[in-house]
Amino acid sequence: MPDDADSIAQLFLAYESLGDPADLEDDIDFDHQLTLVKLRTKANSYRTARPIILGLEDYLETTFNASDVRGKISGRVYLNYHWLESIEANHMTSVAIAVILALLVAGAVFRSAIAAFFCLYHVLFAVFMVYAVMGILGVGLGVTTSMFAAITIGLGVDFSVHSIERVRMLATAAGEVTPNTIRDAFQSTGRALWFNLWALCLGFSAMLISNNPTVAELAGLLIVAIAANFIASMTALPAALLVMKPRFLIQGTAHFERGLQLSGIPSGNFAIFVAAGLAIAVGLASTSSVAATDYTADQIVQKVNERGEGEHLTRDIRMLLTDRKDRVRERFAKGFRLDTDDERRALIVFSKPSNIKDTAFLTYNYHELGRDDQQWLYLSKLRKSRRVSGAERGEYFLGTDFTFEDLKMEGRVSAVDYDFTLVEDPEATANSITVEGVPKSTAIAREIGYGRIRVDVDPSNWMVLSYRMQGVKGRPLKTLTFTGIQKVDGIWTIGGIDVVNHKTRHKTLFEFSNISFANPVSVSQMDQRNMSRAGR
Amino acid sequence: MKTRSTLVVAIALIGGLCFGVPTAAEEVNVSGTAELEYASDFDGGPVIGRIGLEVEADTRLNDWLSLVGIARVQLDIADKLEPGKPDQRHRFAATRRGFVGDIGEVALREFYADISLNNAYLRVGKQQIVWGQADGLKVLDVVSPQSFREFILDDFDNSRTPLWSVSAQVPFGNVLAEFVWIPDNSFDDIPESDAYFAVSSPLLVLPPTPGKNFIVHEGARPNRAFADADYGLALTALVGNWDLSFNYLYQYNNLPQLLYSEDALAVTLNQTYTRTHMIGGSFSTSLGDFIIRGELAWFTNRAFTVDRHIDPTGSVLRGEFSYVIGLDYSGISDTFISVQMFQSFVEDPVPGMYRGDTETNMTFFIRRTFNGDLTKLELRDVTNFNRGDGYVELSAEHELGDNVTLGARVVVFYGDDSGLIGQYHDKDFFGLNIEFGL
Repeated sequence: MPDDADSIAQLFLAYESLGDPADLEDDIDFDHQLTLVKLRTKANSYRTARPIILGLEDYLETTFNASDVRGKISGRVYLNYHWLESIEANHMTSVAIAVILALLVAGAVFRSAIAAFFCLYHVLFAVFMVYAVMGILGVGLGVTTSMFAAITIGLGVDFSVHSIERVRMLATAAGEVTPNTIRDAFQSTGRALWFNLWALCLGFSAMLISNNPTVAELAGLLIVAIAANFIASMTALPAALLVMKPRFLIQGTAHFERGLQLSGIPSGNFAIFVAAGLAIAVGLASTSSVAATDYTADQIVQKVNERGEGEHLTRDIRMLLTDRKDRVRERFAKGFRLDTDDERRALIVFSKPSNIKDTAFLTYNYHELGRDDQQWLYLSKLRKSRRVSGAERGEYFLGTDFTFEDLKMEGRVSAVDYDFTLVEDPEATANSITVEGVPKSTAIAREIGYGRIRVDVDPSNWMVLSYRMQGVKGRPLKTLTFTGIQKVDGIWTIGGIDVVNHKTRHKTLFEFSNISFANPVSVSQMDQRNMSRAGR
Repeated sequence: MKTRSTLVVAIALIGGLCFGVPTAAEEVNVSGTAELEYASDFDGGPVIGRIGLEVEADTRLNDWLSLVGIARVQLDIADKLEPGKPDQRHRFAATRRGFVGDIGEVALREFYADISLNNAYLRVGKQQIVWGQADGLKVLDVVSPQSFREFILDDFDNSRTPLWSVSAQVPFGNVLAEFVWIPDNSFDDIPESDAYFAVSSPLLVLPPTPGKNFIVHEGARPNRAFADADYGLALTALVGNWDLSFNYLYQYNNLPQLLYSEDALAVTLNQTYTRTHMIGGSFSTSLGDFIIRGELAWFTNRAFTVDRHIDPTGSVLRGEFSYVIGLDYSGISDTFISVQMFQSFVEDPVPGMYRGDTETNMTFFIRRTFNGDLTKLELRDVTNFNRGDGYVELSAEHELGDNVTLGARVVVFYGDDSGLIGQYHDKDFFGLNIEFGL
């Protein structure tokens, strides 16, 4: 290559005269005003390209560019450099925004800045852990891998929110944070988090086999981040809570579940939702706190069971029993209830059809803790009342979808048979709180026929809105929905019960009429020795 | 004539209850069942061919008074259970049934007034009074006599004879006292000798003497309203988780004593009615999956048959102690299992008694329901351990709709003529029935 421009021009002229004139079209235009200079790099990485591009830009700016000639840089390497430059510049900003949003939402639902800090601090630990892994393994911050931080924050905060909420419930009930509180909280929540860990890791592991290496890298980083989050939430978080005993733990229960329920967003996605920066989440979370109450699951159950139901109740009952082939049977009965100092007595007496006329079912539900309830069934064909054993309470009552236990507990919840926790449930009735009951033993579960129940409660009047029962094997079994909730004689009551048996596809509808809390019901009327005249 | 009067009264009362709404009543509730039943022995001979209608009407006249009436009309075209027109001299006149030809029957089953006085109740009229906890066999449930026209296979609700009586229930704290006055001196219906379930066991009647006439002298049935009335007291209480009762009954035995005398030409049977005191009690409680229940009673002056070679009268009166203990199990879903053991002991037994000094009976019952209680399958076995006789009944029932129920049953007896159950060893039968609710 000659040194002077004229020599170069002459050589070009000679080449064009002797060779194919189109040979240079890709390199210089016909007027010789615009040319393309190509550079090749050994690797298309940000680290390789950056000094080249920076040096070239400097050269063009300081040396090449003049009034009559200008050079511009273009090409894939230059484009990738600027994408990555943008990612680098904005990565920390986006992480900061995600953290701030998560802090705001956590602080709003827990109503505590300290609680928000406890929710997030170990998440940041996980993020730094991933940065370390990236550094050690030489994984660059690319278009794909740059997303890990926001996702990590979104997923990671889930672990801490669950943990803190559970600790807070137990601590509030106990009035202090003790090692037992922490232990009890993590005995139940820890298991849930463990399952959550595996569900997320296995889910993201599917991305490891992607043909795109950066996608596989992202999956690996997320798995590391989730594992780090889990470990931190099971170790550093409880240790910090126990050592620091933050006051927000015993200041009442924020109804995080309530917020989730109202927003309709599953908990697992909640933090992602926040990290994505959707401002609506904050609004919804704030809305949720308006309806929040300050009760634990056990307190809610107690409120339900202590709700005033009057001393006497009389009503007519129309029953519609529908089988899986939509054949309908109709029955009529009278219902009575009496609350005495010692027990609640409830009686149902059938009047139609003829084959069960005067059949009656009577229960004594004692207020004294530990005292077994008693039940009698009057069989009009025998003209005798016979006792119903406790084991029969899970049996279905005269072809309805109610068990003896369902009839006995109508609108209340057995605190004796279940351990309760507050849960979020997308299937919950609108404007309700959901408590979940798990039988205290497998023997009780077998006896009552339920492996788990979820009870939707209206916190404004402590009426049960619905029960959702699972069978002993964990499959959906029945849904009981209370309808026509109204005030009669100044007392909240129900106008009907709708039962759907998901296993048998049977349905039972109870419709109540002539409801009265004013008609007197006598003790002798509610006596197993007088069941033969109960319906008269 | 008295029977016809009873029939007229019954129809008038039922008609009045069903169709003539009392002006004072708030509402008259009328319900009923219609039943078709056919049963046959294993040779194809009909045993039951019944078309029945039972109507119940009740009304509340005011806060303290209500009326209940139950009437039954039925035709049994087989006419095997009670051939012809049964003799009803053992029944109080107003308790007798009306018969239309040989196959028609009309009965006022129950008709009573329920009177509520604060926490006390008074029931006056024709009614069933039921005591005890046992099923299938009886210890305490002897207040109302029983019809044995279907042996012990009919529902007790059908086979008990409701009596004109007064029952008053008065609470004393936790104890409910029931006072019973029964001026209606009616006795058990024992099938005639030509009936399908005619009695031939020596435990009840002695075999005739060959070559001699057999003369029956029915004794005068006690009929004084007060002097011959039955009186009873039951005290029941719920103590802890136990249903307990104490029962006392002063009554005429529901079966007359059969005293034999013999001369060169004939054997004469004299029926006499004997008084008995019954004192006893019952209990029941639930223990986990089980219900334990029982009854016990001491009777005075029970009549037992004796070999006439040892005692020419063929009968002695002795005290008897009976008890039953039952265990019900409901630990299996949709399944009910019950086992009962009955025993009775004779006070001061005499040689030649046909029954054992100790008699032991066991019952076993299992019921399984299907399709949300729409279908029921039941198996019952009753066995006497002294003579090894008994019966097995397998029955099924299915509800076709709100008011239609189909039923089927097979009954097989085992044992020999000496036993109360074994005497029917050649009376096995099967049956079908359909019941309509009205």
